[in-house]
Amino acid sequence: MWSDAVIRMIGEGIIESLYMTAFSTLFGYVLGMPWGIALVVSGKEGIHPSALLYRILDVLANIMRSIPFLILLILLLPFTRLIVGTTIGSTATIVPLTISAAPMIARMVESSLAEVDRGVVEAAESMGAGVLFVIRHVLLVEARISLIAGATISFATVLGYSAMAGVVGGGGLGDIAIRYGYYRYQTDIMIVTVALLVLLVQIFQWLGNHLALTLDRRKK
Amino acid sequence: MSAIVEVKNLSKVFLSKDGKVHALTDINLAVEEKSIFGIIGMSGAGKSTLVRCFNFLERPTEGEVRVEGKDLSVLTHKELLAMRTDIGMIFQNFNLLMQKNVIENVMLPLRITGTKREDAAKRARELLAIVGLEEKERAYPSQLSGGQMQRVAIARALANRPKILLCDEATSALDPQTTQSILALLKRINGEFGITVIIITHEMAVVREICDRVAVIEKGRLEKTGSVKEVLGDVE
Repeated sequence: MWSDAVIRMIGEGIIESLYMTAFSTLFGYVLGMPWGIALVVSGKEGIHPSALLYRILDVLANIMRSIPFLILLILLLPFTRLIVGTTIGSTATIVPLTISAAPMIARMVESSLAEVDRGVVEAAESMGAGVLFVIRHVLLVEARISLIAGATISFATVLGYSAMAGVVGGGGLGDIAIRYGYYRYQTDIMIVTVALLVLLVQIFQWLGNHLALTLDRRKK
Repeated sequence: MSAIVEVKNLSKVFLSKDGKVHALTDINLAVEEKSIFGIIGMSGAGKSTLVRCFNFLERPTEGEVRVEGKDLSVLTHKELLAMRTDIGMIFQNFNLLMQKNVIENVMLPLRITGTKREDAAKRARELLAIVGLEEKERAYPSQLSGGQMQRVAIARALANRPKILLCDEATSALDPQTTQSILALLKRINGEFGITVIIITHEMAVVREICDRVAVIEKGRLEKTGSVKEVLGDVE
């Protein structure tokens, strides 16, 4: 049962899962970070209110967040084929994972930045700071601990979603769990892959918490 | 002496769910250059809104604000931002960046004006010496007392050599002894650098302590303006 081939397969599964999760989270931030910033800046209490822009970004985030990931995965198949050239495997899975992570990340970023003390923003405005300066040197700086915590949550969520992509041959640990555990009734392999997923989430949560704690200047 | 801040027929109306709220009604006042001017009133009287009209953090609904003779309402956005570097401001809650150390906080306005890093650091150290915190440049705000935080905020507000310093309830979060030392610092800044200081407060003692002239504001209207003695009378 625990032949070299199985162990190698699980090893590859770990690498594939991390590969999908890392790139999807990264691309998710490329889209979600400016999205979240724009939500906060254009909001009613923002530094550059714009009801129209806020409404568009807000509704779009709500719509995309309401589509279940498995459905989104299937809806995006043509788009995925267009970009990656195939719909199977871990690289193809990065496309729907990114699209589903982006609005979630936008909301994470929005709530992190919204926590920043309005008084500090006002102080910067009183010094003659423009919108971009306030974003870069006040909002992102003051919210960084919360942003790191949000990134940790996003990473763990995307890892969970990546396992779901196993249903359509997405690669990674989830794929192994479904193929061996579900279709072939090899419960032991399923338990091991699930345990590995739990372990990965634990490790990244710990790393994220540790990083946030080390960087926080508000204590001591 | 000429007026550095002039307010004419200023009104500010906020729109809320329950209709219009008249925060300020027909305010007229002039603040003389290099003076210490107090604006006193109870909380909710509109004084914080008024002081925010002096640098256009709030735009008046009606009327005119002139700073150094310039009508703020005709300035472009860019000109307004440049104008604000000439007006320092400090706050009740200090409003420092909690994730940046003392010297980086003081350097913040210098980065806005594009000052080179070495020059900004040098200027920040000068300012920290003025407020008596040169030994704290590497400390973070959370390691400081309230009085020390307000000193950092004052150093920061002075970084771009403003002509005016707006103080919005700057001593309201401080104990009486610390209040005294902050007021003494403001007085020194006014005397040494000729910076016009405008103080918003609800504390009579603050006005008596350092103001030359005072305006009393009540329910959004200016009730009286004059010398401290004229307006508040002698200490009983």
